[in-house]
Amino acid sequence: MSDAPVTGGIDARGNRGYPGLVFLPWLFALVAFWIIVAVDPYHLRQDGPAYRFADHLYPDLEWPRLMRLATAQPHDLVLLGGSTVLPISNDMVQQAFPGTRSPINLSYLSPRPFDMPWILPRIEQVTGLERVILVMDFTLLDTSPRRSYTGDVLQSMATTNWSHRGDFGLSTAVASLHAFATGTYDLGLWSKRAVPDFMLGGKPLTESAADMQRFRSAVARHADDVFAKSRLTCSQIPYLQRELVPFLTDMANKHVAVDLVFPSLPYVIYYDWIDRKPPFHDTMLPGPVFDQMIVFKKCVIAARDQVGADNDRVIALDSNASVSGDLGLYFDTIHPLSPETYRTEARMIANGNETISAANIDRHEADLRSKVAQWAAQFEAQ
Amino acid sequence: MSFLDPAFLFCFLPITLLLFALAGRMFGPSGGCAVLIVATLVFCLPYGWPFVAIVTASALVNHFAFVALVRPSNRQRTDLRRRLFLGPLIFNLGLLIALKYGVVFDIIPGAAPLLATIAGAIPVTISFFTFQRTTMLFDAYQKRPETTEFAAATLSDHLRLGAFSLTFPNLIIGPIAYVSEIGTQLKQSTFGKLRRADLEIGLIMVTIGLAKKMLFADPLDTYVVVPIFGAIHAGHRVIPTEAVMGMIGFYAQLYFDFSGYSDIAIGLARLFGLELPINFNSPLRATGIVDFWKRWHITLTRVIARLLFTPLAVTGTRFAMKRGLKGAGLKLFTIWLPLLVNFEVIGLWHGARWTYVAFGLTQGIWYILEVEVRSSKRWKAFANRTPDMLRLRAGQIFTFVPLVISLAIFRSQSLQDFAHLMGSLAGDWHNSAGTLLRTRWTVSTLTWAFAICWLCPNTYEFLRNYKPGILTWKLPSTTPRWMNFAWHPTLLWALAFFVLGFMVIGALGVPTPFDYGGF
Repeated sequence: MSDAPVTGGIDARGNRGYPGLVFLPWLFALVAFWIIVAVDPYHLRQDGPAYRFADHLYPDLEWPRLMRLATAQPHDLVLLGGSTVLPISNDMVQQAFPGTRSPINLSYLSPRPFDMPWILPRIEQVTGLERVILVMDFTLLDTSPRRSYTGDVLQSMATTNWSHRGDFGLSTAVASLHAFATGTYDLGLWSKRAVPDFMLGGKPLTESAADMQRFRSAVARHADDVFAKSRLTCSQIPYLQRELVPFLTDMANKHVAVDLVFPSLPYVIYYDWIDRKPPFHDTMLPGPVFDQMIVFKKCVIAARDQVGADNDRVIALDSNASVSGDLGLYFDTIHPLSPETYRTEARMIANGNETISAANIDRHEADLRSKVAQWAAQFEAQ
Repeated sequence: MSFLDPAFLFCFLPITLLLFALAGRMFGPSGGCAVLIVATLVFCLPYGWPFVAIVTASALVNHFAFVALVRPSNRQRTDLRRRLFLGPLIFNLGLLIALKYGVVFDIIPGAAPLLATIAGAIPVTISFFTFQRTTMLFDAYQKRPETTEFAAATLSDHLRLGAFSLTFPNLIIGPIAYVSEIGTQLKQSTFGKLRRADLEIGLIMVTIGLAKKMLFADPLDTYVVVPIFGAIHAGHRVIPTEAVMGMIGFYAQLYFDFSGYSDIAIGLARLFGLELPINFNSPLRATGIVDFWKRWHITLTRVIARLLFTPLAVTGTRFAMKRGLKGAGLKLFTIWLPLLVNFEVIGLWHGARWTYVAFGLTQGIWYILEVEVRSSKRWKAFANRTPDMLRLRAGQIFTFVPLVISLAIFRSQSLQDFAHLMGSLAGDWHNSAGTLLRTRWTVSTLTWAFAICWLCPNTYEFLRNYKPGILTWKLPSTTPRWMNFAWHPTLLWALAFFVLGFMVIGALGVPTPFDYGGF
C-alpha cells in the first residue's frame, strides 16, 4: 500500500458536491425497486392487482416470470408447450378455435418435467377453463431434477420473489410504471417484437450449405439404422405417471378437454440427431431417435387411455408431411420459421385430423416411417 | 440474504441505515449497536430458523464466556478461566465439525444421516463468524489489554460486544475481524451517525465489489470455468489451450469473486461508519507463496497463524530444545511441521475433500521450500547482486504458474479430475479447434482482468486517502507509479462511478452463483 495519508474525509478534501453523482444510480435503482414492489407485475402478492397483458409476444425470458399473473386470470383455453409452439399467438389460437374468448399461450423455452408440479396445478386453478393443449416436447423425456438447460434464467418462473436478482431489471421497472399508468404490463421496445427472441435472425435451413451437407451425410450414414429399436420404455418417462396422469384425471373431473400434441419436428432429425443431438440432448437416450419418439407417443396414448376421458385427444402433427417434410420451413432442426407455419399448426390442432390412438398407432408408425423414408429418398436425389 | 439480492440492496439496507441513524440520534452508539444486532438477525432469517438459532446460540455462548473471562474478579481464577475458555472453544469447533465436516463421520453407524440433516438445515457457511468469535475468546483468555474495556459489563458493553459478534456485513463471508479492531469503533461518539463521507466511500467500495463480481467473476465462471471443469468432470477431452484458459480463468474468477465480496462487505460496514480489516491486497502480483498469503484472504491467514501456527511453533521449539535437536530436526519441529499443519487447516477450511487436502499440502510444501531458499546464504548473496525490481518481476512470473496449477487442484471435483486436466495438457497444442470456449471473448476478458490486477491500484490503494479498511500487513505497493491513481472528489471520478454504478445495477438483472458461498 502507499504511504499516503489514510485518515480524513471527503469534506476535508474540498468536496464540491460532485461525489453526489455516486449516489444517483443507487437512488435510481432504489426507486425502480419500489416501483416494482408497489406494482407487483409478477403477482407475488396473492391479493395484488392483476394487470392486462399486451397483445404481443413478451421476451422469451420475461414470459416465464408472468406465469403467476397469467394463471390468476380467467381463460377458456390454455396452451402449454415449449419453443415449438411459443410463436403461436393468442390470435392464431382464437382463429383456429372459433368461439374461444380468452385463450392464452403459456409456452416457454424448453419446459421440463421438473417444472410441471409448479405449473400444472396453477393451470387447474384457472377459472373458466374449457380446453388445455399440452405439447409433448422431447424435453419432457428429461429425468433429471432441473428446470432448464439455460441454467437459472428460466427458473424465475418458479423462483420469482423479491430477492431474485434476475427479476428486477430496468425493463421490469419501466413496464411496471406502464402497468400502473395504463393497466397493461408493457414496454415500447417489446411491442416491436414480431417473433420470439430465439428465432431472431433465423434463415431457412435450405439456405445453409453446411447444414445441408451435414444432413446429406447423416441421411447416407443412417439409411440402415434410422428405424432401429431404441431402449426407451414408458417406465423411463416418469413425467407421464407422476404429472400427466394426475393432471388428466383432475381435468376429466372438471370436464375440461385436454389435447396432447406432438409438434411438427422435421423428418431430418431422425437421421441428424442420431449423432448430433441438440445441446439439451441428454433428455433423450443415445442412438435411434425415430423409435424413441414413437415409444413416447405410445406411452402418452397409454397414459391418456388410463384416465379414459373421452374428449382428450393425442395429436401427432408430424403426420403431416407438408410441414415436417419441408426443410425450407425450418430455421433449425426443431423450429419452423414462418408465422404462417405456426398458424397452420394451430389449425391442425383444432381440426384434429392427425389424432392418434391405440387403435391407429401402428398404422401411424408405418405411415410415418414411409413418409420419412420417402423424404430421405427425395432429399438424397436433390 | 445475499448482498446481491434486490431485497437486500434496496429494502433491507436503506431501512437498516435509516433505523441506525434514528437509533444513533436517540441513544448514541449503543442505539446503533442495537440496530445492527437486530438487523443482523433479520438478515439471517432467509437462511431459515435453524441458521438464526445457530448464529444466536453461538453468539450468546461466546459473549457470556468473554464477559466472564474479562470480569476483574475472575482474572486470577486460573481453573475457572480455563473452563470458561475451553468450553466455548469446544462448542465452536464442534459446530464447525458437525456442520462442515459431517461427511468424515460416515464411518460411525447412524451418525451420517443425523449430521447430514443438521448440515442441510444450515445453507451457508458458519466458518467466518465462528473464527471471529473464537479469536474473541482467545483475546479474553490471553488478557489482551483491549478486552479490559468490556470489564465493566455495562449495557453499553454488552451491546458493543453483541454488535461485534452480530454485524451482517462480515457475518457470512468475513473479513474476520478482531475485537480490538471493532470494539473501539463501536463506542466512538460518531458511531450511530450517518456521515456523507462514509456513505460515499462505502458506496464506492460496494460498487467496485459488485463490478468485480458481476462484470468479471460471473462471466468468467459461466463461460470459461464451468465449461472446462464441467467437461473434465464429465470425462470429456479438452484441448490444451482451452484447459490452460480454464485454469487461468479460474484463478482470475476466484480472485474477482472473493475479493469482490470482501469489498462489498467492507463497503457495507463503512456505510455504518465501521472500518473492517482488508482481506485482499493485490494477491495476483505476489512475488512468492509467502508474499501471496500476506495478500490473499489476509484475515484467515492471520487468524490461522495466530491460533495455530504460533502455538504449534512454540510447542515444537520447546520439544526440539528439550531433545537438543539441531539443523533439519530443529526446523522440522519449529517451522516445517507447524507450517504444514497451518496450510492443511487452510485447505480443509473449505470443506472435507481430498482436493482441499492436496491444495493445503502443495501450499505448505511450497511455503517451506521458499522460506528455506530465501533464508539461504546463496539467496541472500543473489539478492544483494540483483536489482529489487528484477527479483520482483521474476518472482511474480515464477509464482503465477504454480499458483494457477495449485488452484486448479482446488477447483477440481476430485484428484482424478485434476489428473485428467493435467493429462489434457499433453494433447496437441497445435489443435485450435476447441468447442468449449469462445476463444476471442475468453482471451479478451482474461487480458482485461489481468491488466486490471497487474496495473491498476487495488481498492484500498485507490481509496487510500479515506482509510477504506484496516491494514494487517503493510506491504510495498507494486502498482506502476504512472497508474497509481487515487479517488478524489472530482467531477471526473464522480462521473466514472456514476457510469460504473449503472453498469452494475444493469448487471444485477442476471442471476449468478456465489462460488465461495459453500465454504
